[in-house]
Amino acid sequence: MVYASDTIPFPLAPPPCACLKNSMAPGATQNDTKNGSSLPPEELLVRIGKDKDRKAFVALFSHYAPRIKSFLLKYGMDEAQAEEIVQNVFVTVWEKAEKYDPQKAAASTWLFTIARNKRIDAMRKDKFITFDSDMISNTVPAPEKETYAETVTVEKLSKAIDSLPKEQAALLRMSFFEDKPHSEIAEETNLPLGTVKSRLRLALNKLRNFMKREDT
Amino acid sequence: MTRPIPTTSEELLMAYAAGRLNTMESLLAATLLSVNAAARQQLALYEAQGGHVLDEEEPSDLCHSCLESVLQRIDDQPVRAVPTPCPDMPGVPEPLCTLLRECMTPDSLCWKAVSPGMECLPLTVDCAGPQQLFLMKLAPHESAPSHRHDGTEITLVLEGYYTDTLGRHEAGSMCIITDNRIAHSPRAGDKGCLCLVLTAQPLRYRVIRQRFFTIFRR
Repeated sequence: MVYASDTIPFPLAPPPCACLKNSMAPGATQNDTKNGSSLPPEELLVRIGKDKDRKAFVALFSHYAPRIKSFLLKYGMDEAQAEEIVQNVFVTVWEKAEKYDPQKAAASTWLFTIARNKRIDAMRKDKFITFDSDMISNTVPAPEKETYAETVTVEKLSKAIDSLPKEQAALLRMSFFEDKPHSEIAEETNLPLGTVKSRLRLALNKLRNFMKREDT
Repeated sequence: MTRPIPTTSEELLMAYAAGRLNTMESLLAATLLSVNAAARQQLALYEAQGGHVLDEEEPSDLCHSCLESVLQRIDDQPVRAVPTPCPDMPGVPEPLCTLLRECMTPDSLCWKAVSPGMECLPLTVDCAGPQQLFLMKLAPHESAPSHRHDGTEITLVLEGYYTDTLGRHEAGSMCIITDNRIAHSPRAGDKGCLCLVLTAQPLRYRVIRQRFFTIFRR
């Protein structure tokens, strides 16, 4: 597989996978080519999975571990606990990278799901069962008309979220961090529950339409 | 303190993506995802939003030994055990099998007859609050006793189909009832029906209500 190099502008050489539109790891600089860290994070994950590439692993860690820590700190845990979970996340990344499919999810999405599951694991004593692609038994296929690309690209989604009115984007964000049902978000934002629900629904519909439009 | 059950599949999947569901709700969502491709597509969008949130985070400083510890741990990693196959439960999707395998003792895996042609297997775990999770099996053409709900009821069809006042519910589909005025009596199709059910409150069977009214009138 050939991946877009950061010296070739995207319109001339579209990458083979929609996920790889970010031709550079977010945050990587032009000079930062040591350890393969100028590679897109999707490619780093593929290398970790295929070749157990430690350099790629270190590069991915350097970029995402500090962000995952910030993400975890927002849930009110202390530094030590957040770092412990960050470590658990990356041990799992090493173990499971083989299963990562760049056609199906952006690296950030895949890492987010692992971080989310590790956070839940850390908070609970009992076994918490989450869905894994191994578990698919495909009873009901997706309705063909409604499909948007299963791959939601980082770039496309960023654009879509940027296109949302501020208050809708804020509610979407809130629904990720607050361990609260919509009714409590409503109380906090002093909005009627119906408004919270309808704004969220509006935001989601817009995102969905945006994805569909871009696909065609 | 109890938190209300999500009342739409969208709310359920968003909360799942964000990691906001309790054990039983999450198990229901995971099972839905394993059997329903449309639900997986919906989830992909929500999880991509999570990825976007992650990308937007300002980096925090990590302690110096953090990376070293991780590298040490991946070197020492033991080989993972392959999960054993599910106990004898045909038609039960994998997330549920994981629960049956790892959380339930063989003694607790016991189907209970509720009414003629209807059996339930309680799966209530982490039981803080009145929520109940159970597998429900209806024999071909048999009906569950008519009942109302004090709160939300979510039914995910795993095998076969059932019909009730709201229509026909096929395998892989999920039906959420939030209106406590709806009394229904699901009736299985010709091959019987296996469902996973989550209720916010224990069910009230109509029979009991009628008896209550009879006593009251005397």
